[in-house]
Amino acid sequence: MNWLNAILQGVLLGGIFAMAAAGLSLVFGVMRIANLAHGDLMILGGYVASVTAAHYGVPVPVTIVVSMIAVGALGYLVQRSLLDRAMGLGELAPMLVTFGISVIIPNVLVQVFSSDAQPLPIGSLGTASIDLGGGLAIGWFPLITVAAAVAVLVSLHLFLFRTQPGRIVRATSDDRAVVRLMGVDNRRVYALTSVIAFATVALAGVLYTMRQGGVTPFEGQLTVLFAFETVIIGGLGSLWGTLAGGVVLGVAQSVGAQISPDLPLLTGHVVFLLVLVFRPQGLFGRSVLA
Amino acid sequence: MEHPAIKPSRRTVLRGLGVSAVAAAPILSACSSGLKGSGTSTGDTIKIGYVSPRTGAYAAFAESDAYILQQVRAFFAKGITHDGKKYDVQILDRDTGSDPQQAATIADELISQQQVDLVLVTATPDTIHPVAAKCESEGVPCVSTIEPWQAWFFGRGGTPKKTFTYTFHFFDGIEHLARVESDMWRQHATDKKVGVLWPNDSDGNAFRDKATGYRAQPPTKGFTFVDPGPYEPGTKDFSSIIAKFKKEGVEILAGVPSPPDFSTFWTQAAQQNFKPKVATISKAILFESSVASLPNGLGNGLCTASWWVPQYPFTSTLTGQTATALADDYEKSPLSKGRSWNQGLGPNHALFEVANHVLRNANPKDREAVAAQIARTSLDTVLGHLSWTGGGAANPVKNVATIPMVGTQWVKGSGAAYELKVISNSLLPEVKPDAKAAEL
Repeated sequence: MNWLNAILQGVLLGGIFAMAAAGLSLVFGVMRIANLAHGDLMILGGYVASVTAAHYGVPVPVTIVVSMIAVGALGYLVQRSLLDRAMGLGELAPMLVTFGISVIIPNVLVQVFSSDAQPLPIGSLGTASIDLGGGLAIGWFPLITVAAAVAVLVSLHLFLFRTQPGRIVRATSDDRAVVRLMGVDNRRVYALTSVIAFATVALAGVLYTMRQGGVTPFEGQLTVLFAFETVIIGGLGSLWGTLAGGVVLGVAQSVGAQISPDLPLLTGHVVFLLVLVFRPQGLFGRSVLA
Repeated sequence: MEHPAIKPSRRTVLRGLGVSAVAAAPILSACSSGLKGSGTSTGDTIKIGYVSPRTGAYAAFAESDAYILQQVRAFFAKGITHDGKKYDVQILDRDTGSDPQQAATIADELISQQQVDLVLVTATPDTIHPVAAKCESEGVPCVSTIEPWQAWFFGRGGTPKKTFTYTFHFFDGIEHLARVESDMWRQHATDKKVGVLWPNDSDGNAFRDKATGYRAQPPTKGFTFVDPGPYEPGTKDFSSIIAKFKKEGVEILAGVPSPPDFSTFWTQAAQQNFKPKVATISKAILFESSVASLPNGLGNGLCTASWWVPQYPFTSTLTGQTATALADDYEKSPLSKGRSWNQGLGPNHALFEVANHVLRNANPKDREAVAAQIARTSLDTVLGHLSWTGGGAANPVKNVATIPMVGTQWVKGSGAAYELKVISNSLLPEVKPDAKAAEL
């Protein structure tokens, strides 16, 4: 029963990882940028929600939308003003830009809001659970997070594979030079991608903040590691892979914890390394990387 | 070497041995020995360095710094007189950004460039150890606080035989935590089974140590400990630990988790119906904001051992304020930005009380005399009585003065605010309990 519980909780944990990794996977897949600021952008999303709820009296569910719009808009600005230029300077420049952003965000947050946790209360939903009997219980909120992750990944999939802008995004990802010859401005495609990615990051951040009850400025750093592992395990550019990667990482961690409490992070990293060694393209990745 | 008669410092020797540093060695050793000389510096201005983590992960400990610095700068504006000679006092405050490398760089700057006469440093090993190491090797007196004394003393290689010459510390230790927390356990009828959250970090491992840790403390005898083992900080899923606690029938929870880890644990515990009768948590719930941000009011009723509360009946030797007045005045000051008092206020204020006392009673320009004066100090501060002399529980090793603690419980007040109520005073009977302990 303990093992069943570990796997069940691992799947729920995987929902958070997949949620956090969705935006990263998109940016990585389309623009080939390793966004090191991803975790800090999540935290920023959480702050936007918390501050609008606490200081402007916005109802908590609505703060999700506010945060997605605000951080999405920031994504547009960052892409047009910084990343577009950096992408012209070589492979490493955009990554360094995101590294800079990852330093700026938490330090600005600590200056403005101090290092206090900023609460985002969701009342009894935070602790409510479904009792499955036999000592098994599933928290409602982790379940909602998994559902949100699936919903986000399904909509991204539909967008990329069923709509014209989505096809253009994929085409740009394959070969931006050819797309430009076809009369498409690849910078607009990148801007659109960034807006979508940043908005999903904000959603992940708000859900993370709700799950923890609050958010502090320096929490993003560990989160980004899990998000990267999720993307790599699942396979670059594969959205289903991202979901699978999250679940694999989550189950690896909770099963590791079942063996011994000091193991979860290690087992997560070991599974990640094994995937890199034996299936470098990831579980669902294309077999040949561009 | 311009001062051949002077015994080279350890640093000079090390620098001289380093091949790459050969060229730099004569210059550096010249200035460091010039600075050390007979252990004195010149001039009519006493320089005090104050190092704290005002930004970064540990910023909460130094939140009241702006207020304290304003207070002490006003106090020291009239200078210090020793032996008929008047000195101006300059306080150089520095922020480590919660980064140990930055702390070491700051210590270097304060010692070599500013030639400070005394260093005060506060909050966590990451801030204190790099600074104290530098002070000890350069021969500059240093006083520190807000780190369990065992971690400060043994963690830096101290033993009862091998003590330090220039670095001194005041704070509580594991024995105070064990005493006060187990007192709070005894206030409830339980099965005496204690589930512990001791992470795989320096705090957790110090608590777990069989010989010197938490279970070795006499007050915890008679309780059965359920230790699931060292979990990694940053763990996002505690279900296996929770399942173990439930299976063993744990009714008491204790530990030193970090705030985000405890938030994850406590939320999951509520989801999976693990409800101990009493929970005494260190570190994670020091500050009201961490308690208030736990979901669904789960912070209500959590207990923690506190090293300073405004209910203390002690008075500052600098300002004459009682602990209550200090906390009230801080909350009213614009420098608090409307925030409530926190536990960093007491010890960080007391650092300057110690500084004032030693610089008046020893030649402030003679570093050895200042260090020797700290070792003789016995002083009543806003934090209580500090004594680096006399041995016993208050002075367990040469360089350490311990402070007592009181047992406190977070109680939800009006609105979203939580209040810290004193519920156990066995180590400090002069503090009156505010309330009876309530079950979770």
